[in-house]
Amino acid sequence: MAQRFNAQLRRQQEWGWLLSTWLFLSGTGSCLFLVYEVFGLPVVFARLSLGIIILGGIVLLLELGAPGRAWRGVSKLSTSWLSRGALSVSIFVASSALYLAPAFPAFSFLSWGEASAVAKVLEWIAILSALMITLYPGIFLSQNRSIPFWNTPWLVLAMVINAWLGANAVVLLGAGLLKEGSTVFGSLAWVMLANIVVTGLYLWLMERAGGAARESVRLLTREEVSRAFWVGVVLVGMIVPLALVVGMKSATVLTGLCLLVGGFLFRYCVLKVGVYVPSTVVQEGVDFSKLNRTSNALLEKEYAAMAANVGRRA
Amino acid sequence: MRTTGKSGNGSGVRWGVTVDLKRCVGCQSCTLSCKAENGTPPGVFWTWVVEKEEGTYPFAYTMYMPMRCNHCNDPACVPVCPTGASHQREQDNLVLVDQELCIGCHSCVVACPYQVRYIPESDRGYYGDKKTPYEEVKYKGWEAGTTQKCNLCAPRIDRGLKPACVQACPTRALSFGDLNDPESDIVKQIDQRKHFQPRVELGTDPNVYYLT
Repeated sequence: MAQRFNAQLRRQQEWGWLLSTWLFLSGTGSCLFLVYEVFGLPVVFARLSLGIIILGGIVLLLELGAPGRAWRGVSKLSTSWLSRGALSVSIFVASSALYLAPAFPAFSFLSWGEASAVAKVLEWIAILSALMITLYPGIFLSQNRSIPFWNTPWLVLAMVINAWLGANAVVLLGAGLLKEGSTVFGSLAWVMLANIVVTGLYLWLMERAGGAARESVRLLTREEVSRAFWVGVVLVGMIVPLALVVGMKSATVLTGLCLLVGGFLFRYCVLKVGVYVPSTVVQEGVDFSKLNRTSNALLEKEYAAMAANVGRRA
Repeated sequence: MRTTGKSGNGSGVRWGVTVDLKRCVGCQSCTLSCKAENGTPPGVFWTWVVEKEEGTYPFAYTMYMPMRCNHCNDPACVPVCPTGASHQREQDNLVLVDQELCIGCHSCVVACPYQVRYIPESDRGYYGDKKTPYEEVKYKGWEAGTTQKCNLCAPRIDRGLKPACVQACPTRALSFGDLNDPESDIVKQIDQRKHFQPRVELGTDPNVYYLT
């Protein structure tokens, strides 16, 4: 009897567009700084990275119920990934701003050159904090024991790959629009393939896990957000850009746009289909029909007697 | 009343509630008394009774199951809080929210497997912007945009009283006491009766026991 109680599944209603936007911006922005460093891209991408991270921070402030005291968000570094993330964002903004500032005429009084020790230290601080910003949103979500679909390292992996692809998308847009940066990277097609494989494995494992995780996969692929998932994430975000990278290397802007749309919708879909473990919690094996009520056998006997009386009266 | 000791570690007070599912008749007295005591916003109920029809005619019956914060020993909602607003009280195990610290990030609301945390968007009362005298008084106890939840009537407990829901239960389906006190009624009930803790497999170690 407990099974029907335990079958009640409810989707989380707390987070939607705003948090998806924050996940998208923080992942893309932080990874853009890492991509800038790894591939030695023009400095415009580092500036873009800083801008995107600041924008992500503003979006997160809008999500808060009491944004006026957001500064308190770094108070629990020992346990809270949100705290650690907020601190990483603050460090990244400060260090990358200082690292990039001397290039602007208004800040030319800052004396450190690109090769100086101060610049190197600032650069490394920015790199490490960008790495942390890339990792923490996925870990933050995967810590939730209440939502099995998120409570897996596969989500962290998928978020990191999506962040990397988002950063590459910005570089592709830059290559097309600003005429700066690399054209399509040789590794991009492999990362896209990895994204498809990881997303597929993630969904397959969640489907096999059953319960709330399976319900999340069902909502993702057949209900609720299935159109956003199949058209936005799979077709626009995975298949089309992969085909473009392989077959039409000149379409950098379109490839970049597709990846950005797919990356954003991936976060949105994952958030929207977060299904809680059933809240009406009854341990398996508890039979409510036995709770101080007349047993079914007694009731059957009573009804049989009533039926016999009715038969006699007739 | 003892007020020392660390929460949930077996050495101090560990407040708990037992819910006797054989006694609960689904009257919602606990729901209403909680509402009256804490003045929660429209649509928000810190405790409520789930009602479900089971079986088939002629052997159909209704099941009742009071739901509430479980004031867990290892709560999922506390470590995710970035400000320390969600915390376990030092002198016992009560999981409380300091609304002056809460930034309304929703992390704890999502983290709680029992879905018993709420963030009201506004402080509008039941009759619109103009609050009733009762709402004027009670709504000062919480802040819109921040998390609120069952505090097991901590102010009442501190005055030596039982939580309002326990006090109001006409069938005495709800019992309250110190789970660390072997002489307390609820420990004896738990020893004598079949029972379960909700979603114990998630590792939260809830302090609400359902007696079956």
